[in-house]
Amino acid sequence: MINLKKYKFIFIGGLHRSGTSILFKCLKENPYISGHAHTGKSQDEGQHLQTVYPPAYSNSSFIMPYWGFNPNSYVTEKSKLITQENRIKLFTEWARYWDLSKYNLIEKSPPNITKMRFLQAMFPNTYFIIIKRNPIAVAFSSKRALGRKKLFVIEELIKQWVYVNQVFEQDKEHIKNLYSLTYEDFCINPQEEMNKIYSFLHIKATDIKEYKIENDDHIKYFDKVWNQDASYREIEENYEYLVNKFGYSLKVGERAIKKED
Amino acid sequence: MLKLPLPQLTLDRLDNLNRWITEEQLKAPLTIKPEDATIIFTYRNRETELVENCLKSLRNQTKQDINIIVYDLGSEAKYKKPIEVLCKKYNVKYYYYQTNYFNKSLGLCLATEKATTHYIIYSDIDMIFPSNAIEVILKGLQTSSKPYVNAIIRKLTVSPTSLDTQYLEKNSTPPPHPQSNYGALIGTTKECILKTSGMSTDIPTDGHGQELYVRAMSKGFDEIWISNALTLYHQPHSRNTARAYGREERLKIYDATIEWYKSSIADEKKLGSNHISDGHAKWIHDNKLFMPSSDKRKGISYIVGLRNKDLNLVERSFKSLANQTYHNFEIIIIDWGSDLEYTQNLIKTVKKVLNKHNVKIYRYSVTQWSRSQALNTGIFLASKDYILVSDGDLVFEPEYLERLSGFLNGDTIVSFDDRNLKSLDSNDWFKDSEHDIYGLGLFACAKQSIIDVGGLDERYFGWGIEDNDLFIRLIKNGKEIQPGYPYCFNYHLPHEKFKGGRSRNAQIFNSDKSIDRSEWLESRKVQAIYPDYEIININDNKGDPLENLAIMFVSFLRYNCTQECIKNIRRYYPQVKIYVADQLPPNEKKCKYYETNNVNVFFVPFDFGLPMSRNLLLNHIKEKYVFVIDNDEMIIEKSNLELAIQILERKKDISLVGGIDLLDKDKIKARGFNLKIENNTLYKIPINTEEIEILNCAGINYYYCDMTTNLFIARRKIFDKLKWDTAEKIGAEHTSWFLNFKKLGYKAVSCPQLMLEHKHMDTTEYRKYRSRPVDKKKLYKKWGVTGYVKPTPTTVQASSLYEENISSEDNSNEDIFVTPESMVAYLLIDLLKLSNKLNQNVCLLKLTCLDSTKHNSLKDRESIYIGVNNIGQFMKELQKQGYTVKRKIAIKNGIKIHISTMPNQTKKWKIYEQYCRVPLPLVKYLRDNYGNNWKKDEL
Repeated sequence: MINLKKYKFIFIGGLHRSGTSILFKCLKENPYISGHAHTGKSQDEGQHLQTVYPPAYSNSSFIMPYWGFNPNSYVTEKSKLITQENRIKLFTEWARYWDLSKYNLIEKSPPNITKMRFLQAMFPNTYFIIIKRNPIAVAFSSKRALGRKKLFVIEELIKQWVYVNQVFEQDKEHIKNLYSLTYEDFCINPQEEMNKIYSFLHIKATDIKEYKIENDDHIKYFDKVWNQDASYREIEENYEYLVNKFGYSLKVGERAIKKED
Repeated sequence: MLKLPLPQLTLDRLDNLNRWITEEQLKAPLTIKPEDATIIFTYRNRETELVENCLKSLRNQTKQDINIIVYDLGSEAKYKKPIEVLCKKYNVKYYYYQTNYFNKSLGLCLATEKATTHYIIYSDIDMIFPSNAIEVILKGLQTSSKPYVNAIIRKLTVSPTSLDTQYLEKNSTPPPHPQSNYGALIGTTKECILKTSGMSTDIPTDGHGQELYVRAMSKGFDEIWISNALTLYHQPHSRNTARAYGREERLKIYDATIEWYKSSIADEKKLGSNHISDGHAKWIHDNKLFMPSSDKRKGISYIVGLRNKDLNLVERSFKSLANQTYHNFEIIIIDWGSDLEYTQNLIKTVKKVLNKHNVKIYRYSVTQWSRSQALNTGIFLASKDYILVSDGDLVFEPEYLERLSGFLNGDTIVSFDDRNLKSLDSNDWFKDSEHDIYGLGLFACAKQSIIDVGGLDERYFGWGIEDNDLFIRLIKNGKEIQPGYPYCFNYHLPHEKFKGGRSRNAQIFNSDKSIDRSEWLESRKVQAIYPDYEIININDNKGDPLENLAIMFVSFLRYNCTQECIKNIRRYYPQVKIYVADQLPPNEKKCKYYETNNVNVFFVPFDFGLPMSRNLLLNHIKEKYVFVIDNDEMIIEKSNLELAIQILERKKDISLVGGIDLLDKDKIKARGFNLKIENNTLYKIPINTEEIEILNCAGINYYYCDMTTNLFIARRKIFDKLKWDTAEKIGAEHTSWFLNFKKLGYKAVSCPQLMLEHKHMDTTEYRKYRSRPVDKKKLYKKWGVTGYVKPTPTTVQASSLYEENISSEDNSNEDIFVTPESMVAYLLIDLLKLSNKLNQNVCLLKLTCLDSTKHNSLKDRESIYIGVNNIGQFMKELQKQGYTVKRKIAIKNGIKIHISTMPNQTKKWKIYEQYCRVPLPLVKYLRDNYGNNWKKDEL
């Protein structure tokens, strides 16, 4: 009989290219935490290691990176997938890549941001860490990862950013243990942010290794692309109001990016 | 809560003050982030150097990142521009307000609205802040959950040439008038501003700090002085011309505030009431300053207890309720022992004034008036989450409930001050009234909050004190008092004074306050559940069954249509939840339109598809029932969503109630279909209401069908199993969904009373997307069919349907015949002659392509299906022969006739040298029966 209660399940989520991987890497270094490793799957993401729920790009009509809009991506505690059988199955499938001698088990998959309520109902002692990043950087780096795409892809990616944040804001009141941070803050002082996360997780803090953690979004995306191309002004005009609601801005010049906490 | 003596701030008192921040508190780590606070300045025509000194000192702090707002009250251009530049330099938010007068309180109020942080700090732009100033202020703020931080200033004797503290200290003196320190620096929370209504605009400058201090203390905020750790330095400058403005009035108001405060300390009955001047109250009220947004989802039970109360007053009160802009409320009248005649007149009054509202009168036969008992009963009978307890002699401004809804939550008790009306027939209530800070009788809160403290104490008879007693218990139970005044104005109608029970009740209040109230609580519950009273339902059918309903639709390319649709829904159902998936880009104007109309909107990718958008919306809908519509469907007077919900409430086996699509000129298109798949053909057979059983549920007619029109109310839970097929974008998704619906064993009905008007607002671009043929092919493939038959239902008068006088135009089909127009007339003539004469189901089709006598395969048919090119021509043809279509006669004789003209349902063939429309399934039928060359055989 598996006693799930003795573990603390830590989930990392956020839109792709928001910093989930670097955060995952940093947390995995902690000797008290075990995270998926050497799985042979993309980014060691838990979504690809299991068969209980469909991973982000399972629906053929959803071409990466629009997974956020897939109605099936969003699951809550009301999901029919929540059964004891699935609970054991999911744990077992993930456990193959965890060191179960450690009590803090971490799983990282970007779509966790829209599955928090579901995961909270699946496991006891769940802790969620959600990382956000400005929509311009998320959109352009996602586009870059996909290769060449049409211009409107940027608009749709920003739209997805808004939608997923909307879902997150809606869901967060249902989550018992939630810590959210921004990629921008993380880059400014990674160790300080990590210490806050450890404090949230009640885990002894450790120093992070010398990763290359820097935020050059304002040069790479704002100055070189976004501000240079007039065709983006319409998108800026249309989406600024909604993006502001989540503490960010698309406006030229306001490249501090994160407006208000 | 009320704990401080009058604020007689002298230097001596300052020395002895025991509310200084302590050494320990100063050493404690700082938990407030500087970015959680905003420091606000307002000014008019200030010198640039002076402002720069101030901002420079603020940007040179041990704790950085505090938000700074500079609010310029109409400075002249020569002062305005340089300071704007300075603000950019120091990353400060600058706002400009065009005015000719300097009113510092007004500036602070307006700037506070702009601040989004939890903590607010007011100061003057002529101050210099030492480098630890922000840290000390924040430490002061963190010492209490309800902080009110003050500091003392020193006056610089010279214009400073350095910001060095030693220099500033050396060149400054203590202020000559310590009282002014109440306004030099104020640090508090936004909650304090909300609860006190902020700085009084009636006091433009000097004295405004003291006045706010008094009101903040009365709301239970903690005074904290930080001057033992911090001194601010005031820079010398020319005198402000505004100083003399309104001085006399200011002093008057200030004195009145102090008087009120004095009496508050001695009298607990003032608990929660507010004191602000008329001018400021009206200004706050009209500008909705610091007012939370209304929330139309909060249901309110308005409870009033009466006993032979003057009906003249009651009628006026009810009229003001009838005029409310907010509709999500019920009215519960507890008639506590009135005379029978009075009750009868009360019912008449209610029926006359509140004829569109949900009102219930509960009449109790009791001999003694007790406000506590009456209200406790009403509270238990309330069906909404929030209650508003009132009296029968109050009138309310039209926006009263709408405004109130913004304040309601589980932790707050909203208490209102009355304004006493001098005349019953006043046309200007505000002008003809005086602010009365006396009562606590009118309040609103969550129903559960009252139940948690055991309701009102029923030892209090008559009226008086029972409300004070309740408030004290609510506060002890952790509830916050939120003044509803001046956001919501209610007026007490003048009437003769009548005896209450104040003095006797006061004795009870002052004696034993701890008593077990559970017995009364139980008795009220029992009365509510097992009525031994007479209940009089007024307009019961106007209840709010829509609380559990969500309306959802998808917006694609036709934003004007979406706006029209939302406007239309809000006109009839202001409180119903609306969910929209919008496939076009958002913009600020659009977002604000959705926000203003309380619409839950999700922006989805362009051409996301109707099924995908609907599935996405369903993820967010929590309501029990979902009304699925298109954005070109408009609610009309006849629409009755409530009745459709009634069917679902009463008939648990029914999963969906479909509606009727009303076309222009009172015509309807279809009343539902039955679906069947036979011989690789999908049949959509229109419902013939003459032939099916019309059922009735609580007076509501409905009938079963497999597929309804594309407007229907369904149980939310069925969508867990049944989603729209996302392989299709638009067009065939409806049929596909209903085929699945039928396959899963769900039952659908159509209800004629669920009628919406279909407004065609298509654009060329929309039509391009709308008529993509690919979708139908997917449908065929999915269901394994090669053909699709949908006879065109003939339009009928909607009004006739209402009377259930089913038009003879209705029909269904079973077998299919075809004839050119010129021959149809003969066909019908023969048919009618035969059916009348022989009373048998044989059709002789002379001169048509299908000679039944030859093939002998068309005997025993019960129905006939005719494809025609043009109905008008067909009818003319009949008239030439002196006949009209008398389908009722045909139906009575067991023969059904249906006429189809749609090109996509027929194939045009040349038969007997004439073109005629052959329905697609018939092609298959003929080929199956007579081979591919059947025409040859025939000929």
